[in-house]
Amino acid sequence: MLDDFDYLTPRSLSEAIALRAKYGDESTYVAGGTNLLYLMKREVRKPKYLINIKEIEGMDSVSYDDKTGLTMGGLVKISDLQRSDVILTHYPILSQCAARIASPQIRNAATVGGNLSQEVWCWYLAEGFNCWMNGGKHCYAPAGDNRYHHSVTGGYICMAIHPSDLATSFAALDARVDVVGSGGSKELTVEQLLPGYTKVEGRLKQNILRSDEIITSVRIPPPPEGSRSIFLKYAARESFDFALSSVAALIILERGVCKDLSIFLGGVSTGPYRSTKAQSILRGKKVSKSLLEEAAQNAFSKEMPLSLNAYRIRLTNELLLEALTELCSPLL
Amino acid sequence: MRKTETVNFTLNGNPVTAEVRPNEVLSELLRERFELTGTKVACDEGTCGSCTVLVDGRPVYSCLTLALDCKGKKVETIEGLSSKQGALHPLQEQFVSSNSSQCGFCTPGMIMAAKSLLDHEVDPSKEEVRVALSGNICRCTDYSRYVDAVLLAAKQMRGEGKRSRNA
Repeated sequence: MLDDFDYLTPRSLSEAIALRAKYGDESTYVAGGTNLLYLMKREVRKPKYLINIKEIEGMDSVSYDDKTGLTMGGLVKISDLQRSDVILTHYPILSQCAARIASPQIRNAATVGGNLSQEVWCWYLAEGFNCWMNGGKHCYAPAGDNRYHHSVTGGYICMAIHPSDLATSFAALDARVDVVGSGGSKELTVEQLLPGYTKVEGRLKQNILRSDEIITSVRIPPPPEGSRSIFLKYAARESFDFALSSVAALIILERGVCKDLSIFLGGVSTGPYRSTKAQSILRGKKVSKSLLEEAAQNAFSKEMPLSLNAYRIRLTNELLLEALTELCSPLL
Repeated sequence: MRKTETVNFTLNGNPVTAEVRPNEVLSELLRERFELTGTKVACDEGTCGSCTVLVDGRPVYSCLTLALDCKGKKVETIEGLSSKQGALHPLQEQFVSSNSSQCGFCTPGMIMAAKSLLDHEVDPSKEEVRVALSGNICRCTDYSRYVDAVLLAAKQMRGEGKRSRNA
């Protein structure tokens, strides 16, 4: 059973932000609640006031325009992404990605904004260990069980991966995240939003959002002409589980040459990980099987596995090769 | 104890009212107040699917759904599936006749997830059924009988094939 709390339902952004200011640290925003209520049931999070942002108008639709691209409200559900025709037509990568998030029931509740601002995933955190994310001064992962949920590219203080699949895809598509808080509105890239670990308002956090900020929408430019994109995810189980590794890639091919590309890896680092080395191996080159293999072997610029998770580097190499081979299949 | 709030919603086709605490989840409201114990609670944290009910026609985990969020919504549970005369829904018939349950604890959730699929798709593929059931965990069987039962129920609802012998 959940501990007692008050449930406040503002009708506008300004009202929500004012409530957050009024109740401060004892309050938190909630939309789909699939992450928050889970942690509350485990008594890892104990807010006294839940500010329900689901009734705020104008944040639950998906629209597409040939010039400006795709706009999704922060309250759009993951299952809405799966069902959206414009997404299926213009951004099949997002349909693939949405279909691999958690389970159908979770997708019917969880939102785009919530997926991006969810907490990091680590079983020490979820079990209520006194770790950095739970107010302590220790990370249990390096000396403990780090097989599934911890960074293979190093980290700062907390080693937990950021589990958002959408973040990985959004980053590859060069998305912009719109955020509104008491300090006004701002536009962030996904890398800016999820920089790994950072201090916000004196507290260690996994995203750059200040406590009163709400993700109002995500915008994605129109797909570049001639581009192809893909999202692949490997998890212990096909549904429910977070990625052990995922790849989101977009490539522009012109007469057999890779004109431009963007590769992001998910589930392997403290935020979406840009595969800079693989990108530079491919950019401007004529695509061949051996070149794709070389790029896939260089998925990471720096590999810093913990004691038990080096296998996820090899897993990522394979997954990246599969993704690149599929994207370049007309040429091979 | 925080103050309660009145929630009006439709439960299995009937308008109902309840005084709800903010920290009450839908599974508690259904089981403890409406005494609809067909909805099972196993993990109680959104990782197993046994508490699946439909809200506005879509499956959700009732253990992770706040009762207050059901204001004005249409909630369907396993108890709403059979007809008023007590005739089983084709899904229930096929789950019975295919012997797909062992302990049966996951069955109501599994059936509700399948019902949402069949309400939206009269002729689903095997893969679509697998995906629709992918948020429900069974710890006894191998899932293949559930998938077969759903496909048979879909067939029965389209008026093809035989009704099961338990009908």
